[in-house]
Amino acid sequence: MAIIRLPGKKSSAWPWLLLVMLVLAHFVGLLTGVENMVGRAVQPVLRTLSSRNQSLTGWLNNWRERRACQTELSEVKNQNSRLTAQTISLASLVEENKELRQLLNFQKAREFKLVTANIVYRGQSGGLLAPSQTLIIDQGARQGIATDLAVIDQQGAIVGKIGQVKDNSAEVLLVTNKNCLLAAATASSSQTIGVVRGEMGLTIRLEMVAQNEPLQVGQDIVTSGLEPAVPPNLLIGRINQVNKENNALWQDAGLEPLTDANQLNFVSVIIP
Amino acid sequence: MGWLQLFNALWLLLVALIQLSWIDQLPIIWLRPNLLLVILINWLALSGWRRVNWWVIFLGLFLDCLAFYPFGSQTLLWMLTMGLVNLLLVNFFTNKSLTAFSGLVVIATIFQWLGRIIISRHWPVNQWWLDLGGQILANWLLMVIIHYLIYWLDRRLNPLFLFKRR
Repeated sequence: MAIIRLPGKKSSAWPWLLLVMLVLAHFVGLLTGVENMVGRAVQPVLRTLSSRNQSLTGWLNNWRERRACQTELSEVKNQNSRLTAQTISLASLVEENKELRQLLNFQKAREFKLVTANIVYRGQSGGLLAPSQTLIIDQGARQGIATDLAVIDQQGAIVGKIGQVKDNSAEVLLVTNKNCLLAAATASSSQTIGVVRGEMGLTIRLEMVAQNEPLQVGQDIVTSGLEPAVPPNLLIGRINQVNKENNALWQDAGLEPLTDANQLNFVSVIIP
Repeated sequence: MGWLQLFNALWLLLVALIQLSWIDQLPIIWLRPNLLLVILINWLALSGWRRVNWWVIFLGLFLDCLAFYPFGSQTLLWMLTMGLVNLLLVNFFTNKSLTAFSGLVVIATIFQWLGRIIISRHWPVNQWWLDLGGQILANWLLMVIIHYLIYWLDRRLNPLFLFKRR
């Protein structure tokens, strides 16, 4: 039986003093062992419960996709006939591309390694562990993860960059996060043409592009490799809008992200 | 540490884990109540500040170990939130009606949401009012359920909104 007590009017300073002491102890490094122990103890539980929740999310996503597919189907049929004609002429280029990609994958495999991590928490506005446009993964400094490393999905498209790192977990800033900056290039060139930054948590913006740089809607934008921790030619997004004014110093473009973080269950971190 | 304290620590950690790994990951925003907040408000109303403040620190430190906000900020935010709730409980919402608890949960939800936005320095531009409104609604619904559950166990709580009968 619950006992009802009137909230007391006298307050004690001991809880606040304890809080100050603990914060100081953290910054001095005395609490590192305790924090790591808590993180290690909790990670398996978070990972297990989070994976159980994916089935419900998956069912809901499938229902939504089914509805969207029906409207898309009629559009795709129209597109199909137009593209068939193009495909015939591109057959030889496809073969050459396949050989070059195999060579590229071989080179990639030799240059860097991947650390695969489960997503244990998706940030949200007012989230308990992380804000929106971030993910928390279950790999951290012990597995070689460091700040600013690139994070990719199963298809090799970039998902974001590593933000803060703990011993057994790390924060991933999604490409739609305004704090995630990437040096960008077009798919046909390795030269850096601008900087990609997240915009309003929904889309990506390619900024600071020279006026004489030709940008077209539908063009793929990739990482340029200017940053030492981010390999080149990782797909960032596709241009869906170009903003070019003659009296402006730069032109910019809106990019459509190619990955949906809500659909991901795990990601890979590239260790250079 | 007595068995009661150990039991309190365990169930509080269990609720925190359920909140972090399951409720926070639900795909629909209005299904994401803040279980920790609602339970702590009820616990505060039932047991008083002197007993609850230490558990608020415990919970805050646990979240600080896992979160990617500045260390200590979660603990401070929870302390301030529950301190505000206690202040309102003592001075304004002095009856034990559902109206009082509803007001407390709405104010506490808004305060916590704003606090985390400030801590993260990440103002959500995209439909932030839907996120906040969904959380308020979900917390309020959860508060109604818990309030009637406690009323069923302890009849000294007022189950309905108070109306003066003339």
